[in-house]
Amino acid sequence: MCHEDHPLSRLAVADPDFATDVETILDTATTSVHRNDLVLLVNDTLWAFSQEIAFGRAVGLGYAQLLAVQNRRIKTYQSIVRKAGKDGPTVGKILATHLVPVLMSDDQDLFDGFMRTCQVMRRKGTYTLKGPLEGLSRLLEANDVASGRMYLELLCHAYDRELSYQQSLQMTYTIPRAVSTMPSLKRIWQMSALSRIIQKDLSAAECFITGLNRGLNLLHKADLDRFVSMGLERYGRSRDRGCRFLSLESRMSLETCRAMQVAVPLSQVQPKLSRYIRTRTGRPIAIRASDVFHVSGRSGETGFVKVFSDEQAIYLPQEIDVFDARKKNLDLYTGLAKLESAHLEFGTYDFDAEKALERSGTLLETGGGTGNKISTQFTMADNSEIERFLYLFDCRKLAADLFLIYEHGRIRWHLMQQYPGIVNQTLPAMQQEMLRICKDVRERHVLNLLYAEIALGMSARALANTDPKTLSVIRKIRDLAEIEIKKSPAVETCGRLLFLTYEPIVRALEIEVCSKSNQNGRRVLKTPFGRGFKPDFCFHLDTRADRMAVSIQSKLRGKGLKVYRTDVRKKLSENNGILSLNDIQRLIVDWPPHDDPGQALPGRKQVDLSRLDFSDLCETIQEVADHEVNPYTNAFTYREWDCRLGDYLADHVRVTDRKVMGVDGDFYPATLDRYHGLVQHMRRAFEQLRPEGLSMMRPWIEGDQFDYSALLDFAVDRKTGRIPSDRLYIKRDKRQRDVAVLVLVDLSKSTTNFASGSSSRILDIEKEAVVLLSEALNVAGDQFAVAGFSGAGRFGVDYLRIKDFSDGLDEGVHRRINAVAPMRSTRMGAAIRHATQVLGKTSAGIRLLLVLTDGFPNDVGYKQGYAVADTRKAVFEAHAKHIYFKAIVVNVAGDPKLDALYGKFHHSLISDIKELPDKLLRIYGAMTRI
Amino acid sequence: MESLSQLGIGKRFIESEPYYMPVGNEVAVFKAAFKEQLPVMLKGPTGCGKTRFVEHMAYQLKRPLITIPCHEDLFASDLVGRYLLKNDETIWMDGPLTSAVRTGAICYLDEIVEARKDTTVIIHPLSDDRRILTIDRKGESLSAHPDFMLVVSYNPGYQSVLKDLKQSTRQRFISLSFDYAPSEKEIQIVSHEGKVDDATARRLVLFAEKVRNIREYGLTEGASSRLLIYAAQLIQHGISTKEACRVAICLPLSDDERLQETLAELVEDIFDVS
Repeated sequence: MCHEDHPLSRLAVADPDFATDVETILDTATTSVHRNDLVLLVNDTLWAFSQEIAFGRAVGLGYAQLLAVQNRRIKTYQSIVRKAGKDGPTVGKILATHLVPVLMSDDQDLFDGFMRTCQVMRRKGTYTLKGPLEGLSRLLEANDVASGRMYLELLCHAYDRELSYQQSLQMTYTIPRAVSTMPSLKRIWQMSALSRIIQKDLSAAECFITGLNRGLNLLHKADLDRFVSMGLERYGRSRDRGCRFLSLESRMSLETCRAMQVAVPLSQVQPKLSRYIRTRTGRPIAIRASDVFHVSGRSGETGFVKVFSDEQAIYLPQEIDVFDARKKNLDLYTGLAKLESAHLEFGTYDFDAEKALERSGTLLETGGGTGNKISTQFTMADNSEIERFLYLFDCRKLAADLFLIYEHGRIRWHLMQQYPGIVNQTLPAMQQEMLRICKDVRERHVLNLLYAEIALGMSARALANTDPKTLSVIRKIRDLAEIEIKKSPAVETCGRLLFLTYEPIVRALEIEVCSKSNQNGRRVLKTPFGRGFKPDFCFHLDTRADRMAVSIQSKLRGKGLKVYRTDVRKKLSENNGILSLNDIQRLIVDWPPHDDPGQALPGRKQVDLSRLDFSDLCETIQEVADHEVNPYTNAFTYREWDCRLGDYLADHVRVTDRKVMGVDGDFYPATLDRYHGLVQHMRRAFEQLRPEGLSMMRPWIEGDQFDYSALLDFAVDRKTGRIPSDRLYIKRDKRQRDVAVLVLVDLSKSTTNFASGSSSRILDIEKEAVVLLSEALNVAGDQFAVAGFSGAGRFGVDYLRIKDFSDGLDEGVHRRINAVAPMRSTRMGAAIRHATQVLGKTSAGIRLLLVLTDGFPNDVGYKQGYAVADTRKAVFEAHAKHIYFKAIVVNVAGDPKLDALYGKFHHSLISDIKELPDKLLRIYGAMTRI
Repeated sequence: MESLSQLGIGKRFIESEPYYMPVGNEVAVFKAAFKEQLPVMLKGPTGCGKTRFVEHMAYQLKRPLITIPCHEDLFASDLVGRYLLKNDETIWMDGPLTSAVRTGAICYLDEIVEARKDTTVIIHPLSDDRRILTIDRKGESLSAHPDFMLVVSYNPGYQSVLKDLKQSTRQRFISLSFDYAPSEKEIQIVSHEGKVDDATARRLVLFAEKVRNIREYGLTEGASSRLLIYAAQLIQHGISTKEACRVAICLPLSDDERLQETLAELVEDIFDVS
């Protein structure tokens, strides 16, 4: 604590904790704070304390922050705060807080604007200050002084007019909120447009803010100005029309906006790209937004990586606004997605550091003092393989840049072989952008030229007038890269190339090798549109698999067996974190290749494998045993399959079977109304499924009795010498349709989520589908039951009956469907076993179990591989009881694991849940057509 | 005879060797089954070469092949035979199955699940060790020729649960599972059958592999080898590669517009070699 003579000691007497806070801030100052300033701080703080505690704190913190950065305008702060304090502690506190960032930004215009605006706003009342000024502070904290000035101007315009209390109060919320959602790069001109409108009318401003969220935010400055002018013109003629125009409610405004729109947001292209990437890679790869991507914010300028991917996702900019034409922006999106999916397709993330090292062979021993690092750095488990590899080089950033250059070169080679179309579509734009980057003399450095040569197939000479010596080195490296990649196009080749060229590049081209302290001084690679990768980012996705791989590798190494870590990890993620001995057997490689082929003792090795204990690697099962049982319901116990044990756990799960309590509501009739057209169509279609009992076929070639009219024809034909038809019979064919179907609906919590692009929850759409299917089944005359299920631990599986086989489709069922709500987790195996039991009691010839779910089973102690194995087992059990099983999976992207879960032919995927009601009927119809 | 040809039944010795590229040991298994008089069931998606395989084996084994496409109006009498009226007389006409049983042909029931239940029952005594065909109308029990062989096929991908094969039927057959050939073999097949160069065949197969990735994403089945061969045949006649893929692969697969868009994109990526 402070010494007694120290000015802060007085403050410490008043509020010791606060004094410590102030001291902490002052400690960040680079030079010591003058004593007089400290006295000023303490005096004013105590003065403010005397008015109100919060005011005092604001003043103290404000002084401390200003003093910590040696701000010259401490006196200005003092006079303003003192003056404001006289008008009351509330105003004082607000100004004491929000004046600080204004003074710290050291901008006279901003300060003047601040003072002017505060004055204007205070005329309307102190209550107008707080929200808007907080917004200002947020802008200034983000160092956006220009926006700050514009924001103050906007506030000034807004409050410098006649306003009712309600109006000014409302603006304290709407303006800061609207500004906070504006993207930083477009903020200034969007605020200026807002300001124009606010001067005209307040309610129009509200409409404009709505319009911004609906799509106006995608317009360029000039276009937005034009749009606002059009809106205001309409507003002048008719208030209502103007409002509808500005809020993008009228057709005209939507069309105008669409025609002007040049920027493309990710949300617009996401579904299309997802489908495309899924086709290319065969895996469900997510598309995530990285950063906004803009004309003035091209990656070339900032050097940030904006387009990259990892094993599970492709990151694309939130919005692309690079070109003047919308089509070009759209093409850029598609092109970037295509290039990134090539990384997933051609195995960038299968990079194995060990393999790369082995491929580099003898280089290791001579390789620039890197050898000694291998033992220490290489065993680290907390880094991705690429990162681990890059640790071997003195300058990791340089190594990463070179690796990227070779990797992009390798990808280009692969694409030229297999997807020439992608190369034709994307390369010109990339080259163009590279030319643009290289217009800047500072950017014509060796790394960028290498990138242009290797990754983009351009000629470095065309880009820059580099001296011939450098040029020839670049050529040599390019030729080497081409030869090596052609020889072995695997990703590890890039590692080998890195080893081969790292030292020469560092030496010959005098790139300063950066130590940690001068990393910023090095020239960095700038790729077109910020394509790159983040080795540190790719990792941490599947840490568990990685750790398991490391542990398995080291265990096997202890037994003299060699596996590659990446192989193990890949297998683990493919198998949901489970590795069988067979899998391991297949992964083991002969090593060293020549010493001992290692074939002498395969049997003994297998024994060794079986002794390996994997149990410590698996997730421990948590059990929840505290679930209460309601004595008024029926409880059943079922076994569960433990895949690690390879056996059933007897009486492991308790399923509580009860009927749902109905709730009044109009969900059922409303759904029928909503799908009026579909209901009509479906009734007709399902009526056709209904057999007519005995059907008569006539005239038929064989049968139980003659068709007399055909006989007459026969006689006539014979008399006249024509060849008579042999279709003389009537055949009665007994057609039976003896189907019982149980629809089991997943009521897990995830069904609370909203379906993408819709305002309905997943469960609501599932319920709608159940309503329609119930109607359809009723028409077709099939026996059916509906139930829901959910779970919370192994003693808490709920089986909720909505409609029994014996129930008619009456009001009670309607009310029960209405009452169904999302519950907890998904312990699917037990639910399927219980449903199988229920269905087994019916006498129908064909019994069908339809499960409607939105994802994978998941519950306490019921995860991933374990859950999949148990569910699969439950499905098998149902098959064994002659019950057909079909899962309808909604709202997930296709996933090969679904095959593992339900069997190849036993599930249908509806990725867009909005199609569920329609598709469910089709699936059912197709499954049971006679 | 007229009615038989109306049913689309062909009976023939195969004169020239149909092209078939073995993927696994299916040829050896089929030959062994033939020698041991075991019936065979072929499972697999459409257009992967089931029918071609049977034709190939019939040629190899030098047996006539009778192919019967099954459908829901196929009665037992259509298989076994019936009495016809001729000049005030009734004469018995053997059905395709009966003639196969008599002459020792290979009888191939294509898409067996589509047939009516009563037709599947008559093949039961034929497909176990009894190897007899009972002709109710004639009161005759016909023992099968030693070379007679019954082959059925079905596609487990799309079938109504009401039409699934009964265990009693299934368990009378040995079963060969077919799938699209591995890419290197499929390339050879496409280039041979479609008479296109290796590079084009390679691109077609790559495209098909990608399409098979989105099975379940609106497609019930992936692009079959048959469609690839169609595309190759069109290309050989001077249709542009992209157009051939569009009409022979993309459009037949699905009516979904969004899916077509993705497929078109992919065609552009793979075949744009300008």
